[in-house]
Amino acid sequence: MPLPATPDLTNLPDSPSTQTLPVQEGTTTAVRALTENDWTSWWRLRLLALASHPDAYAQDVRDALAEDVDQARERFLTHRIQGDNRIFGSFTPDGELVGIASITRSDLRKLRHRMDISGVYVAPAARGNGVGAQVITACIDHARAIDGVLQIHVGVASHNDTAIRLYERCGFDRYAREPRLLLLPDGTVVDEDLMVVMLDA
Amino acid sequence: MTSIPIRPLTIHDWDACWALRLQALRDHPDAFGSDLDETLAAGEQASKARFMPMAESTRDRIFGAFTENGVLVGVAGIMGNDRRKTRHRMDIWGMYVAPSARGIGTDRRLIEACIDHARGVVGALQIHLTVASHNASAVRLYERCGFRRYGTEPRALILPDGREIDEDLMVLLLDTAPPLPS
Repeated sequence: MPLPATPDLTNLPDSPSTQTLPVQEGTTTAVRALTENDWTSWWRLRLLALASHPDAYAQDVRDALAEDVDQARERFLTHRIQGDNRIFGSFTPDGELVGIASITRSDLRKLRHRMDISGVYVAPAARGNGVGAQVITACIDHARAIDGVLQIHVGVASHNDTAIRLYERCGFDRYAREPRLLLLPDGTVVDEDLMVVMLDA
Repeated sequence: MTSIPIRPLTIHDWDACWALRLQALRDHPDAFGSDLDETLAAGEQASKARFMPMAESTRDRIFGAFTENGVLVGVAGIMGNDRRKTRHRMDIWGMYVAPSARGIGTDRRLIEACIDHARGVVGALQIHLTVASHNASAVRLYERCGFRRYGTEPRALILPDGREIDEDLMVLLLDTAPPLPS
């Protein structure tokens, strides 16, 4: 297994306006569940997400980069896309992965009615095209089709109004605001809104 | 029975801890995410494998309350995590006091032991816990220890008998909360 190319962490895109736009406005992206063949694309986008939005993910990009890649790939194969767990990806017509969202189910009997969405990211150049809604909706549709799943939880940085509005449009309601979920290396404090959608409501 | 001694559990306390844990899961399925049958099916070694690192850790602790005869009658765990952005957070979990040791402040002393320990952990700034929303006496205990609720998780658990349990999410911010009155 060759090592996937990692993003250049010294020169990260910080805003869509500084980017060339490979995704034209109005371009239709296709969503599907990722398979083992998507590992490299997913890992690359995941690292870009962690590097460019430290306030949005509990995992630090340096820890992700320090991790053994084979182990990370193994967890992707045996956990993230196994059983009822899925990662949904949004692809451009050229086959480029530009949006991702994970959904996982607990193994614990008392928590089997619950799934969790995490690791949501849309590449800067693909924003404004409904890619976020597309991958979140795919997660919700997937959960609805599983017998016994009654609710989906997601955590989102309290200051991320755009993401919160997206989840609200998808039916999520806030049930808690967790103080100081993250403390970033630069001292930034991030509170987190905990949201849930009840599928049987 | 009067006030009960509290100390951190060591690897030598495993047998007593395991027995009390099973009693807790059996008597209060609404208070734990773990299920008795599942825990038994996974086997004692699986639970022991999680206990041992905590018992040997300098950061994590499981505090135990003992009778004068040395019988373990109460436990509460406090643990941190290794993630760079969440190292300031610790969690209290697995709190249980046997019926024979209730009503004499054993629960409060266990929680205070956890809080005192966290105050000594470099970088620890807050302690989280969850508690079944209907368990008013436990919620009051945590409030008296300085915790405040920041949300209620709907239907956090569904028990094997179909009962639905909401959970209060509570936090104690160590850097802003005043020390507890002694």
